[in-house]
Amino acid sequence: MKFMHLADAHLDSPFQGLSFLPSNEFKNIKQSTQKSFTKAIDTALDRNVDLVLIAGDTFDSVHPSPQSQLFFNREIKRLTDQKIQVVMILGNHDYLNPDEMLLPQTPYFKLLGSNEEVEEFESKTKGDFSYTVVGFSYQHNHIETDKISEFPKRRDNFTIGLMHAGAKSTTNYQNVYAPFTTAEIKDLNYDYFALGHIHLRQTLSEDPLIVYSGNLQGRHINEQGSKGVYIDTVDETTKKVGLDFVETAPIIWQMATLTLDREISQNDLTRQIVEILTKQNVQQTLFGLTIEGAQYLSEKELELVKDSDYWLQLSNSLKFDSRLVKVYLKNNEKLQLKTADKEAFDQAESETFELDKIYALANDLSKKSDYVADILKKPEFINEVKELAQVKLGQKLKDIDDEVNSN
Amino acid sequence: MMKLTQIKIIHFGKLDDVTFNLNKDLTIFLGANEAGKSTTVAFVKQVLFGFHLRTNKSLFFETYQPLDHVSPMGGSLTFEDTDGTFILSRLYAKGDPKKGVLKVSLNDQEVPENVFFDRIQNIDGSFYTDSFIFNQDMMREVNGLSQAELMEQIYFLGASQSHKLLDLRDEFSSNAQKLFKKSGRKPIVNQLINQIEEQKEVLAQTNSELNDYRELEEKLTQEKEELKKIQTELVELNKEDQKISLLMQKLTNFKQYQQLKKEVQPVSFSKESYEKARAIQSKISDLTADIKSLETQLDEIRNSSELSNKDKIQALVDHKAEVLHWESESKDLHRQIETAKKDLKSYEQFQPEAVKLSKLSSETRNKIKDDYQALKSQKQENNNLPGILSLILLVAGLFSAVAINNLFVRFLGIMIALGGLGLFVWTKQTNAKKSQKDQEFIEKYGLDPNVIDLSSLWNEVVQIESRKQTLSKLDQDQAYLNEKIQAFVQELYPFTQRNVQTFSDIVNQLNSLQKVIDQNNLSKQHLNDVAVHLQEKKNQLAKDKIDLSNLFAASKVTDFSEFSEIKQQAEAQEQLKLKIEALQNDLQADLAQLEKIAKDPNKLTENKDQIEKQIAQKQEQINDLHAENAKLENQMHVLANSDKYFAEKQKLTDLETSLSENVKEYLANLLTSNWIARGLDLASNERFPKMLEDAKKYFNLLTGGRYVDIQLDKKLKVKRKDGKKFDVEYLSRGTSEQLYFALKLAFVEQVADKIALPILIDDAFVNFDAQRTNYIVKLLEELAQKTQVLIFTARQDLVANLEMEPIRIEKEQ
Repeated sequence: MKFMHLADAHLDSPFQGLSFLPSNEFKNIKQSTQKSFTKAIDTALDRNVDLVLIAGDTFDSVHPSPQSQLFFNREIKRLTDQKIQVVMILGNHDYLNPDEMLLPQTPYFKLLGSNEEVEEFESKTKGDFSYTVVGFSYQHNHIETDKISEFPKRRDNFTIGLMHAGAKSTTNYQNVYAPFTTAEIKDLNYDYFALGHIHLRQTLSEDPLIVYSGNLQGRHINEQGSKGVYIDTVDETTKKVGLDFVETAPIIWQMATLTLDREISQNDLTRQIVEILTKQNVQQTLFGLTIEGAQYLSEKELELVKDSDYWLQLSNSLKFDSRLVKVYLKNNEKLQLKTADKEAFDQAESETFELDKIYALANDLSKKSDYVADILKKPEFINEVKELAQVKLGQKLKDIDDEVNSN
Repeated sequence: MMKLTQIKIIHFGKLDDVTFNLNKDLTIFLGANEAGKSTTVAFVKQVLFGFHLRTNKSLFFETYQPLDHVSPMGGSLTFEDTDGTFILSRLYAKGDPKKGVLKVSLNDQEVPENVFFDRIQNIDGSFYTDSFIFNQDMMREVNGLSQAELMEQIYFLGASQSHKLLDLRDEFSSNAQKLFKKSGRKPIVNQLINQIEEQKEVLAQTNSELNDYRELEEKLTQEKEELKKIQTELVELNKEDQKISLLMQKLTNFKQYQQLKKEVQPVSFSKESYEKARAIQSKISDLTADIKSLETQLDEIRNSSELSNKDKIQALVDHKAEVLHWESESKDLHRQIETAKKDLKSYEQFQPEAVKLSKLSSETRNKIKDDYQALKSQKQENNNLPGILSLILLVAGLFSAVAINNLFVRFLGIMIALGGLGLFVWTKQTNAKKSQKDQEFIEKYGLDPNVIDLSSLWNEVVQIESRKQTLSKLDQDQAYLNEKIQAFVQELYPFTQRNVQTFSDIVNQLNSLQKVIDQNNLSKQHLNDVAVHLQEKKNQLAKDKIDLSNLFAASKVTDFSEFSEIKQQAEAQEQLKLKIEALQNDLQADLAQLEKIAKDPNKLTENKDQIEKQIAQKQEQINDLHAENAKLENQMHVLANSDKYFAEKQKLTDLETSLSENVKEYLANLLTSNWIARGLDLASNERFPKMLEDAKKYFNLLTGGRYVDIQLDKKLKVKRKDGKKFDVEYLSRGTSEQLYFALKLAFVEQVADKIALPILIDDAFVNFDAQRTNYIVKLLEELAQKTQVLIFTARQDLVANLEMEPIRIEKEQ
């Protein structure tokens, strides 16, 4: 038996941080989610799989556009026309009312657990290999209960768990996506557990296999690297599963780092950036660049590297239509202050950068905008804020220092 | 802690060669106005930080200029602390820098300036003025006090370049403020937040695309069903319409049917009886004809047999032989007459003179005889030859003249003719005289005596006379015969009624009369037979007539024509029935309906109209639905290909990304600003917060507890006991001076450990009433425990209050 495990297609999903791109380029990029999905379906057909598992978040929202629904319908029909079984669940993004979806009307398409209750689906491959898929769909954006406990014992046949969920974390507010522990799933001892929700492809357990296939197409710089699907080949006697990742995303996101240890001319800066990006550029890539030692940048260079026109200009030297789309600056040196003051400032830094203090500072903002409240919950955002503050102060203190030195 | 122990003035303003020894805590200078109190204050400041010459502008010490005409200007200050004694002497002489020349010595050893100034944190003159000198002018500046200033001054004691850091802090803070204001609209973050809200609205509306699509789809399905339904209805209606059309056609038939049905009557008719009657009738008719013919025959026979003049006819017929005899006799007579006439005729031809004479009477004839005799004698000379010859000549001449071409001959002819003519005329004249007496004879008797031979003539006349007599006899005979025949014919006429001309006619008549008689005889014989036969027929007829009347009676008719009529009626009814049957068969299915319809045929038309109207309506509906469908499909198509939702979502994401970036920038700015502030706080040992605490305490003290809080933000505010907040400009002069004192004293107290310079209070309590003065005195006493205070005043009561010996500054004489 062969089956495909795909998740988090996020059709209709917008892309972050690309608004500066020329519209034709952006158009091409925005099509990548659908292209990736089509490629996944092509792969399923090419590999002649028996079953396709769709582990939720196929659509980016509960209001998918007709265009994406019709697209999905068309693509799924390609599978069901070939009598390939499709079992799908809904995730926290696409917790749609099934009645309101344009779903393929065929026995080869199964929407599992559409009432948010764990459901079993039993079927056989063309080779008469019997299997069961167990899972549930979201009907709300959050599921805080322990769904694993609702999963039945593994069946006699090849049993697959299908779930859209996030592992239990210490941060409570994150435990709203059917939180689980790997141990719990392992205890179920299913032959395979296909997970969706986390966009980073990862294997939580080798035996039994508990796998996130990751999303189909990265949509921002935090979704880096190859994106695609797993083709799982089952040894029908031992029921052991072989994983084979197939990349489907036409465009990847990638980070690159430039480290400065001294001041640098603008020409050299440009040359070095292009060099670093070119090294990593093997397919169409949207690059994020971290400049370590950003304090060495002059005021002018600092402005330049923040300028999206500069990014576009740089990108013209890159193959595969790859683009630099984001620059992070990092100050890799302590503040240039007198020892006594430095101590005071170091202490001030740790005090000021305390999360609660930051939240207190941002309180007025958070109150005004849910979005801001949400991003403030993201540690990476807080880090970016801190890094930016460090770069800013470092830059200024360097200037003060220069002033003092030059005096 | 360093203390100012001695002020030694060589020359400064109005003071000249004065030395004051000071207490290490509180020293009070008492002097009248213009005695030199303020000059002393200025001296202390200017020795420390440099003289202010006229050109060197300063807000406060302008009036205390070095006396450049007195040289040297200046003096010295003696500070003592645990390390020893600092003497700062500043002198100015012509050619010196305007600040004057400072010499610093420590324990009588000249040392670099900074040995001293490092101890007071290298503050400058304005810092000292602002922080350590209290006078009326400064007190008025309370409105100008700001956190920034105080902080800058206080941080100055902590981090190096604190003013720059403070600038940075303010810059970052200001940058942050530019990005976001709690209650602003213009800053970009505020804008973005609003835009995101708006975009969410837009998206929420666009969200409905799928719903719209589904709604459209549902609507389309519904409309298609509706269309199908209406189409079905239309088909039904068309059928109905056709049916009605058919009914309308049938209605004509039905009307006929009804009409025909009305015409149906019960006719009692027996064909058998009729046929019988007809046979009888026919027989009767035959019999009647037979009878008539027989009767005619009988009449005829009777007529012919009843020949009234049968005998007379018989008599006539019996004369047939006689008639035939008459015929031959007549013929014979006729022949004889003819012969006589012929003879007479031949006389006339050959002996006309004889005939002429015969016709004359016997007397005449006798006379003629006499006359003739007479004449005979004269008759010898008479010749007629020349006359004839002349005529011949005349004729021949004329002929030759006319007919012959030859001219000569013509002439000759003419001559001959003329000769003939002449001869003729001559002859004539000669003859004329001779024949005179002949002429008279001729004229008398018509006989030419020259020609006739009277004697022979007389024989001939006898002959003729005889012949004439014979003929006359014959004519008499014939007339007699004709009379007889005529009489017979007269007799015959009544029977034949025909004119007869010839004997054959008569014979024929007689023959036919004979036939009549024969027939009559035969008829009489036949009459009986016919009469018998007739009677038989009549009997038969009578019987048949009875039969017929019986039949008629049975069939309730009076006569046959009536019967025939009934028959025709019966046949017509039969035809009718057939027709009705045919129609009925045709209409059968719709009969019931037609009957109803026929009662109100207009209703059918109305129905049809209505149905046709409905058809038109349905058709219109169908068209509308088709149009609507096309529209829906188009809308669906548009939605199916719309990336509006994506675009709006992307727009939202772009806005959010932008917001995220700006929030990051905002927070980074804010954090950096706070970081610097916190760093400065920490570096300055948190003097500022402490100072603020002290200032509040002092203000509370100075106002006798009426004011409980000071808020130092961008603007200075105070809070009254009752919780009411006031901007500084709304405070009374006294209160605002107390506020100034509180803040400044708290500040100095905070910096005292780092900047051990004396506080100089120059008549600053002018406006304080006794109560307030009392408060300030307490405060000053307390303050003097920590830092050195020099009070310059003209107020004795203050001195009294402080219970200490003042240094008196006397006006110069």
